[in-house]
Amino acid sequence: MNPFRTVFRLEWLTLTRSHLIYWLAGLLLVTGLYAIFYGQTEVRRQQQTIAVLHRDEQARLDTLRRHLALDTTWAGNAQKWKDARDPYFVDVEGYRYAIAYPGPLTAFSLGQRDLYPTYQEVMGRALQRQLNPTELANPQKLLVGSFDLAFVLVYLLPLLLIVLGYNLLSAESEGGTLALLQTQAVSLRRVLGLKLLIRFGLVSAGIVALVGLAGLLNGVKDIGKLTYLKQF
Amino acid sequence: MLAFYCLYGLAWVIGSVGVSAQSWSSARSLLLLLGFWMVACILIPKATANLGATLYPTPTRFAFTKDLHEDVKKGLDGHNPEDERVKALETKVLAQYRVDSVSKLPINFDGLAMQEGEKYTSRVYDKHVGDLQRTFQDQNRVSDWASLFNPYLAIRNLSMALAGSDYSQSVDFGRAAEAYRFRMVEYLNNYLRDHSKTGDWKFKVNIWQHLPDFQYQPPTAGTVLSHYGWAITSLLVWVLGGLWLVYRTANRITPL
Repeated sequence: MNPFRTVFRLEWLTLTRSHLIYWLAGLLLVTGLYAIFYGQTEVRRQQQTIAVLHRDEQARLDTLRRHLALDTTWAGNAQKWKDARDPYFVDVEGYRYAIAYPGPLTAFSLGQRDLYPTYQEVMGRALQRQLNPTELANPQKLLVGSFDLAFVLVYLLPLLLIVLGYNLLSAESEGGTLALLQTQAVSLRRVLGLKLLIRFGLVSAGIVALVGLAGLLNGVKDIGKLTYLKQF
Repeated sequence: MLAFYCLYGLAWVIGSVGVSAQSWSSARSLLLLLGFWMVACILIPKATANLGATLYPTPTRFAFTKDLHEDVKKGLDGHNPEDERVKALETKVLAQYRVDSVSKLPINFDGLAMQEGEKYTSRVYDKHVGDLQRTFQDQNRVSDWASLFNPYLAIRNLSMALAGSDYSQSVDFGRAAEAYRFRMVEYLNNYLRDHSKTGDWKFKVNIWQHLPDFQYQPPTAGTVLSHYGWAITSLLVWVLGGLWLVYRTANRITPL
């Protein structure tokens, strides 16, 4: 008799008979998919904002370039042409944006990007006039935080693990089967180890599926990579 | 506030007893309650905030400041005598007083122009900031409605409301402070207009002592609570509904 198969079969029966495994899998799947979807919408919103900034910057620079090429023999054009050659005016009208583009892992953990924007105007003016760098945000939304995949994995997953494992041994003791189990040829330690292994396998499969799906949707090429920051 | 916390605690106690009476094992009861806690206290608050932001999108800082500045530019700049609208105002005022130059006016034209500019920029500011505040309030309304089904949201909103730290009270205070600022500037500009001559920038008089101090009257508890009918109803419904569940189950359980 293979103890692994026996323990696995019995554990599976226990988990499925109480419908527990379906509830947990369902909860993880629904929250995980929603978190992936939400992370993606937020990143798309950031990208849309960046696109608007690019257009704005382009339009201002194009106007300056057009004014530089104006025919100055006509009096109406003289001021525009002069302005476009004036360093002060170019700083005011031709300023550019410093942009932090969302990376492949941004959607996994939105972090503080809800308040700190992905862009900043680069302008030659007094620093104290530029001290308002936060994004507009609803305080109540900041209070509850983002619903991203990192939240599901670091916050909800432990709860699921507790539910899966809290009565691993106590259920045997309460059900009066602990003594029986101890008389088996297989050691209690081995049986417990197998029970844990089964749960670890199930939860790992869930994590790999969700992270893999999120990675696929966000264009992450190497999901096993530690970080997408440059190495030292 | 204590009464609401007691109601909230009571709702959970009754709910726990009710679920426990319905379940055939303690493990199942605990899981059900833990699951409910997770959904009510962690998932729903985030989900309703997200839903609110999706239904009523917040403008980006870029778009907000751009619109604001464009509207400000359309109006009168009281600090710039070369401004076209200031010139138009000057012509109008000169005609009104039947004189040909601002130096002959009995009033200080600069005071008048600055107040006209102030009126305009304040209106622009009120419109844009008001729109933003309304957007946030629309977003928050989603969680207000959801509090009917969620005792956690109900007590969270009631806590903030009674502590005076909820969104609508911040907005109320901000409006009062801005109204005071506007009246102060209006008073200074009008004083300059009525008591000095145009171009007299050396005009000095100690008028600060005539300005009233800022006084803020926070809304009464009754006014604040009237906005949270959903939340109060929610707590009562959860307590009464829980009681009904417990009694129904207790009547069904018979000894042996």
